[in-house]
Amino acid sequence: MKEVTKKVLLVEDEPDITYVVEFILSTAGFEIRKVNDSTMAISEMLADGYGLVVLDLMMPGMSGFEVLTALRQEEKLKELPVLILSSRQLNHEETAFLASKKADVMAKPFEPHRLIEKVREMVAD
Amino acid sequence: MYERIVRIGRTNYFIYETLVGLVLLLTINLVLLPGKPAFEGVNPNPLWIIVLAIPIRYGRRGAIFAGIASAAVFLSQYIWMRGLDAIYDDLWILRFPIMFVLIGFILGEVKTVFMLREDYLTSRVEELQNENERLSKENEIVKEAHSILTANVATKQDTITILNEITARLKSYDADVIYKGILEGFRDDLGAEECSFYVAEGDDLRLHCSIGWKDYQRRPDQYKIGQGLIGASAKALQVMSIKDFIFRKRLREHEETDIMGDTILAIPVVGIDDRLYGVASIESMPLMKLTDTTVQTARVVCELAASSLNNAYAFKAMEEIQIRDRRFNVYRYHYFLARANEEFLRSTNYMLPLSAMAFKWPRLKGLSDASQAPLIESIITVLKARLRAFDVLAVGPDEKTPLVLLLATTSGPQAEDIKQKMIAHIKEYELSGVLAEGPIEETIVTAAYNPHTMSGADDLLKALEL
Repeated sequence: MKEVTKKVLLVEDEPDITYVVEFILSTAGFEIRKVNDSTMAISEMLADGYGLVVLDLMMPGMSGFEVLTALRQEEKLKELPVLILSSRQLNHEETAFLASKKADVMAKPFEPHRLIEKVREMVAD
Repeated sequence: MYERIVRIGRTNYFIYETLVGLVLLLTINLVLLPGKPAFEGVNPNPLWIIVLAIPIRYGRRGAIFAGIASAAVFLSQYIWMRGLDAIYDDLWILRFPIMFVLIGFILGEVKTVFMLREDYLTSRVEELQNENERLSKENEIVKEAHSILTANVATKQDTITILNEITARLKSYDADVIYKGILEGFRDDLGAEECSFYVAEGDDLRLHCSIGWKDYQRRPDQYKIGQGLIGASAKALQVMSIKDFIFRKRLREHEETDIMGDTILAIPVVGIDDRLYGVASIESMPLMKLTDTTVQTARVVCELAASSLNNAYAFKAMEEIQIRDRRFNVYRYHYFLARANEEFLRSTNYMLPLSAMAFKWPRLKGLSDASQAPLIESIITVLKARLRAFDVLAVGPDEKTPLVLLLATTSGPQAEDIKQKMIAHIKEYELSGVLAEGPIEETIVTAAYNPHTMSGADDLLKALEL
């Protein structure tokens, strides 16, 4: 049986969202590591074993799209599940891009139980 | 330390013993050897008895006295019987008195040294015994302190363990889970046999959940704030126990309060800005477990619960404002759009089916507001009977399309099947004529995800004619 890693990396610059996501996922038994600077996200992902990355799209510095692109270029991170948090509607190109990078999306605001279900599903895959 | 020396040294017994001894010897000398003064010619001279015995017994002081006394007796008797000239003629006879003094002194010094050593050792032994006794007592005190501390640490560790377990139970964004978690904590970790939680609703406290209650027990489902121990706890925002009732400690302003409902401990759960969430009540608990520690732990549990409830209600408020349409308890349209995006991407990634429906009922806009709302609520109830928990039924974008529906993991044919069942229900409740002028079937539009023709959620929505 595949061992499920319950460690989640949260790349988000908004403190409120960070607090909410961390609280919700920790109630489900996930261990959360937070990074609010997207430029540090890749090195953090490479440094430690994470079961999932929760990535905000709109961030200063590197956007979520750029982080996702850089992430998928690393051999070690090609299969790492990525959940994008988005507060706006995505256009066709963005949707196609995310699909090509095997990233899942959750729109903000979200229901707590849905976030947990989604994360559990992605971590188990 | 020198008690014994002082005791012996200060005694003057050596004087008496020396004098008695000398008198005896003198008497023997005069009676038995009258022609031999001071035992002249007797070898060894019996006066040595005094010179040897007294110093050995009494040490320095005895030795000096015995030596001098013996020498004095010897000389005085010799001179008395032979005259002083006999001394000048035979100075060698002086060896006896000189030896008496010298030998006696030497013996006395040696004895004194031994006596001092003996007393030192005795004192040292006494000191060590006292020290040993003191250390033994200290050791016992330390042992006792150690067991008390160990017991305290164990108790505190137990308390910390209990609090850790309870904290894990209370960490949730769902208020119902938290209320239940409080009671489970009381039961499993504090030993409560019967407990309950009353949620605050305005001026009332309504029973939310209970553990351990028997069917035959008739406890109130509701209290007024201020009524009973539970109400008093809610009013004062303080822990109230059976002791407060018995001793009227904090119930002076509630003189009419009675026990009501057999509560023995009531703890309010108070959030930020003194918001009362409710009151946790323990009705039954082994008396030996109702200690100050238990009460304190229960209070801390409720404080932890309050912190979680602050979050839970904040999430709920966010959900109600941003996700749910509070009028009809369905989702908001912008949330429907966001979910459509999500599910479209998911379908693309994982090759999953996806469908959506739009309910085109412009006739609803002709109804008055008073009629519209109940009708929409009724329709929503009918529709929800056919839906799964994760289906997204939402308010529509305008009055022409009052409702929309997103069906994840549902193919086109399956969506059609659901549509037909909904229509059957609508007809069963005779709502067709209210909702549509023409056939009701034409007012429900379905669209299914098609990877060949659709590149984004917009395409799906266009297919619904939104």
